[in-house]
Amino acid sequence: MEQKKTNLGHYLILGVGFLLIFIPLYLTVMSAFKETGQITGDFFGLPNPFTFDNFARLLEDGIGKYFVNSTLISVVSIALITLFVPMAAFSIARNISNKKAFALMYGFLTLGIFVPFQVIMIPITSMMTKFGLSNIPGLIILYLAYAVPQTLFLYVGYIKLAIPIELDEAAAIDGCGKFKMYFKIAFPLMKPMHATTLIINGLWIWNDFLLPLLILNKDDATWTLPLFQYNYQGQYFSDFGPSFSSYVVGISVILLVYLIFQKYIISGMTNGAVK
Amino acid sequence: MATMQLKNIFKIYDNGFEAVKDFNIDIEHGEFIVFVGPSGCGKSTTLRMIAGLEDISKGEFYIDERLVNDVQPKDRDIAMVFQSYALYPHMSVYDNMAFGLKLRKVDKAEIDKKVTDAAKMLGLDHLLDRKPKALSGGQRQRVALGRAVVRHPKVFLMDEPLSNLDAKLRGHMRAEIIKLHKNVGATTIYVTHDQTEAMTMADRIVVMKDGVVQQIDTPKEIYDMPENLFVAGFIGSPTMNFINGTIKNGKFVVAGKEFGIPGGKYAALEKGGYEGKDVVLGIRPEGIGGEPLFLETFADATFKSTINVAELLGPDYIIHTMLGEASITAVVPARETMEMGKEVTLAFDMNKAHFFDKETELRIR
Repeated sequence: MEQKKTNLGHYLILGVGFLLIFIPLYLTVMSAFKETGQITGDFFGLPNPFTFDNFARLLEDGIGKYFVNSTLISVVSIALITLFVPMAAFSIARNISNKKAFALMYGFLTLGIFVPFQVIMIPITSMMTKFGLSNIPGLIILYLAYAVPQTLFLYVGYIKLAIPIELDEAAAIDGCGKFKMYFKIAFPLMKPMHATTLIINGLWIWNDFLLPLLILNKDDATWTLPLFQYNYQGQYFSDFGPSFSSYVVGISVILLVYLIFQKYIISGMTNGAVK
Repeated sequence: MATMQLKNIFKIYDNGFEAVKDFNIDIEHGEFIVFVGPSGCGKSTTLRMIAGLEDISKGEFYIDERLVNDVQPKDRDIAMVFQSYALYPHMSVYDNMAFGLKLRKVDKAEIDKKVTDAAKMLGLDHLLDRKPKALSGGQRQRVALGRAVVRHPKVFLMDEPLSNLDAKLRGHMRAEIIKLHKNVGATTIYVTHDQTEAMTMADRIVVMKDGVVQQIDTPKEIYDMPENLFVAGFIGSPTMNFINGTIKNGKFVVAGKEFGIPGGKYAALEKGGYEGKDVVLGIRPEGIGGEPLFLETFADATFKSTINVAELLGPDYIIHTMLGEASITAVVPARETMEMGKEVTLAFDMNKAHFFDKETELRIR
């Protein structure tokens, strides 16, 4: 009896959670295939007629260019984050317990987690303008910088816990220098953390609106997908059809990436390393 | 095979702690050396300095007469087996064993031959495609050995390689390692805190305590002629009995009982000026007996005592009793029943007894 009550509670909470996610998703997807008139008149109904006009409109408005921009920015930013942050994290994780400089550096770098973006938004924008970096490379540099605190924090914790120092030593004796040891042993063993940070940072960078708005405002050829999507929202009129279809395009990419990488997120990669 | 010389080696950490103090040894080609001692005695630190994983604070370390203090581990031509095995979890058994050879750009066909041969020797040939997590403890241990063997290094280093295995498997692997050493013939340094491993495997044993070498000798010499109280107490199971007493008129006196000292041993005591002084007598449990012939032979070194605990081991009893304030452990044949409370007459084989200076704790000789 007690067990049944608990189960019922679980299902109730899960049900509410499911609806909270499903209803907006359902409305977005359905609206993408409706005519604008039906979206305002029959928001909850199924598309009637079922139309691809909204997607055609996106193509006409040049979504391809913005999609490419967003993909380029996300892929390059994530690649740089995955190349540099674990390298720094590995060095910090291995030295933090016996070298003060590393502990200080770690403290300083992770402090960024507690600084809200809005606080530094204006100075950052003016600084990037002064350096002539109000463009895609500038935005990528900012993403790399902003990803450091949280990503470093995650990697350092993971390395300390999951990659025993004996593996470094075994590799050193087997014939590895520091770089070979990092790339051949440590880096592949961080796979679960690469997947985790890829999803966290990828989601944020792909969907980010504020930073591109501040940095890429000047030249609409460099806009990202969220900036393009915002064009369909006006003060007095919103073009709902193309808006929703562009959201579907954006969501599909994230969903695909998540489906590919989710199995790595919490997998015990180091089982069998020691003992 | 290689020779090694450690000359006045020290390990001093930044906080001033001296983990290893003035370590000296000359190791011959193909020798099997075991470093033994309690936790924190500096044995693993010394091994890690030999491997190049720790810097040598002071002193000189030579492999084949080449000074290697500042040589990287990869350039010392050594292989090491870790206590935790340290297998690469993302690689198969084959790749784990081949990794060192690949890094040295060995020809692919040769790698294949070496790995297959080593795997056959260690009974791993059917496991080459598996990842370490799919192996048992003993199999992982063998992969770790295989990884070291395939490279045919000059020197093998082993850091408590059997301590994670159960007792039965440990015994089996001990024999495997001895066999492996005979086959490969590489100079080997083996670290353990298990004195049974030290006694059974070593050509020479290095006993360490608090970073200081206590004695370097063959297992037999270490057992029969311990340099000091620490070595005498550390090697041997059950441990040696230590009894505080006085030398009076050529006899060892404790709790009002007198034990005759053989002429040769007394001469050393007399020469050292120990007549009338307090000393420590050390005698191993198997040097004490209660059989009629034993009592007759050592009639001037007998005492009566009550058994506190008797442990039957099958062919023998380990009995625990007292002599004055000293606890005595003896191993006696299980010909008659021994039980708690039983009064027995025991004798010391004084030829096998050692005398130690109470202050310096050194054996008097």
